Amino acid sequence: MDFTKKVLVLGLLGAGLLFLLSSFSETGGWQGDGTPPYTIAEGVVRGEVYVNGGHGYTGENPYLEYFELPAGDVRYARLYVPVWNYDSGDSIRVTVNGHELASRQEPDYVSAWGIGLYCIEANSSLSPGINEVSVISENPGGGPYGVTLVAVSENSSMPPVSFWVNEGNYALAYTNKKDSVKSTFKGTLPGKNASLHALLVAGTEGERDGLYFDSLLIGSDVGRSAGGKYFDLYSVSVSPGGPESTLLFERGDEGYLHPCVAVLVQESESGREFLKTYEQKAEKGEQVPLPVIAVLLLACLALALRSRKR
Amino acid sequence: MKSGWILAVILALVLLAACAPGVFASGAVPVSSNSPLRCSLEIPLDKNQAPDVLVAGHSWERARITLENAGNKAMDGVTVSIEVPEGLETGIPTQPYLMTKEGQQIKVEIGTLSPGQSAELLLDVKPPASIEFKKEVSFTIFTNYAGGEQQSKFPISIIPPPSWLTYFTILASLLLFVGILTAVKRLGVLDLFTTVDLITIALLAAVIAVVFRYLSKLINFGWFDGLVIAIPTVVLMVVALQLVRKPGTATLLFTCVLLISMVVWGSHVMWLGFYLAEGVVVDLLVFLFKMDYADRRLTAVVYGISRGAVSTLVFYMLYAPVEWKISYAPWYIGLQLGIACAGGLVGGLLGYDTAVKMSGARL
Repeated sequence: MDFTKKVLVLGLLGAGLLFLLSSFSETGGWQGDGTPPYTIAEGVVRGEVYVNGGHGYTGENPYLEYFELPAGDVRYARLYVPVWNYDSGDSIRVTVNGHELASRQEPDYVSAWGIGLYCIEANSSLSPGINEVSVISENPGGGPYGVTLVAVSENSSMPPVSFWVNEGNYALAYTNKKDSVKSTFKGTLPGKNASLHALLVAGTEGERDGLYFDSLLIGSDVGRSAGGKYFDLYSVSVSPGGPESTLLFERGDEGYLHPCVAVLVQESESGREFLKTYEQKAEKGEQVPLPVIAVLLLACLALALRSRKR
Repeated sequence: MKSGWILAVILALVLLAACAPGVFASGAVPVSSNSPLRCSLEIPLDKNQAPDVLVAGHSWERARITLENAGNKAMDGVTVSIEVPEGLETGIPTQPYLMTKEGQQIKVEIGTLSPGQSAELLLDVKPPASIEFKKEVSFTIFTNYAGGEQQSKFPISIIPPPSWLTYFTILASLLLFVGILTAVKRLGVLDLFTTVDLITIALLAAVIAVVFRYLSKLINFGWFDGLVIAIPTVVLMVVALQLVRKPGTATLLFTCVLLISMVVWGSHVMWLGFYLAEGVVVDLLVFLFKMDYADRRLTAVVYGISRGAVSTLVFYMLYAPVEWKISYAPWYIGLQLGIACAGGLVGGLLGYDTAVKMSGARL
């Protein structure tokens, strides 16, 4: 084979490999920075908002979590299952009180090297009292960090509350040099008492991070595996400073930190009850990282030069 | 003869691994032989981890206590009292049974257990932040029911994250690193490498660190995922040995892999020992085989297997307990060791053929 042909073959091989990588990369590999938490549901309801669950990455399969829901009708419920080491082909099966609720392959949000977040509607599957949620995962070398439930229960004997449920999965990491991410809550009442719940994964104790609400520091080293291995559900009282509140997650010394869910519940003055859900943001397929393309091209070039030499 | 000696060394390494602290687990579940009540404790719940072993400094670990009525009569008024060992922090998660905690004592009202029925109790357990030496402690579970009572003891081990073995390994790694640096300086090893050699090593290291690492996340072979990166890594290692043909090639190659990973993916410098270990073992073998740079199929395979075995052992015996506070189960380490050795075998065979074709140096 002469030199021109060899170069042509190597070029074709390289192009073929790049094409394969591009098609694979939609379901695996480096999944990019991810999605900053955004509002998926908001509303005003007479009742309460339940946010609980998750005990860290334990490797148990099925991953079992119990939730004790307050009295009232469940008007809106969403289960969050953050997972470690998601690879293309992995899946989870979610069972609530013995009945299969969902079977999913691709997570709703993925970032970094496969930190995934599954979001599952569970409005009609839950009832007041103890509920059992079991997640069977097919994910060798990985699995759930936790199962967290956000449930809005209606109870006419209780005062109205406003709530915002923000979800996403953003990789704050030294790898991608992302140091902070914001999440906003629109329509908050300035000065009224509120409680904030933030779900983060991959945080490590001792690696100091920061959580700011309307520019006020409300927690440091929040991602510290307090709720179990690499899992944190941080709850704190806050007071919005204006009609739009901003939650800022700051990576600080953390190597990796993934803010996934933020729920704000505030005393409401409005008598008008409503529930508004928003369309889920679609994950965009990530491109092959530039270093991978560069190294492949260099390798092809080196092979071509070596062939020429011989 | 020599290959037999090398295999004996690998076997000795495997045996050493099996004897390391934290690998053996007690896991005995004492049950009163004449009692119809079966009681068991599982901690941690991850089947891949060593049972009944907690690593100090670890976060919360979930424990499950299972009580089963194995008799043919219903058991009424079942109550359980769990005595948690001193030094272990406990948390009570939401669950169907009401549990109350008073100091290190947890009480649970179960009620009636029909024949064959079982009750599962969940506990979150946090080991102490640090301990000086390995410690054996026991959970004691007292169960009362109408017409009987039972006491069960469940011993568990708490091991310090870097045990004396790991301290020794870290010290040995540091000494090795200093030794390598001294040797490199005194013998002028780096001067042996030409510019072309260094470019070859850098390029092969870049392919391993960037392309293979990326590919390994695209392909999902489940349990055999490790092969996706192990086989091509060994192939390129053998290619590097045959093309460069200088002492220290493997160590330089894997050091470059780490340096490139640090720049591209942000890998932590603490992995230096891991990468050095696999490089050093291959270079030592090259020396033992009288400067055989994988020139024979057998040596290529031996180098591949040794690299796989050493990297697996260093990862599961040193890095996992120290960095992630995980003590893996012996069977799991054995499985991963087997997979890594298989990857080394296949990679060695493929690498030899690839290298011979590339260098045109068939002997």
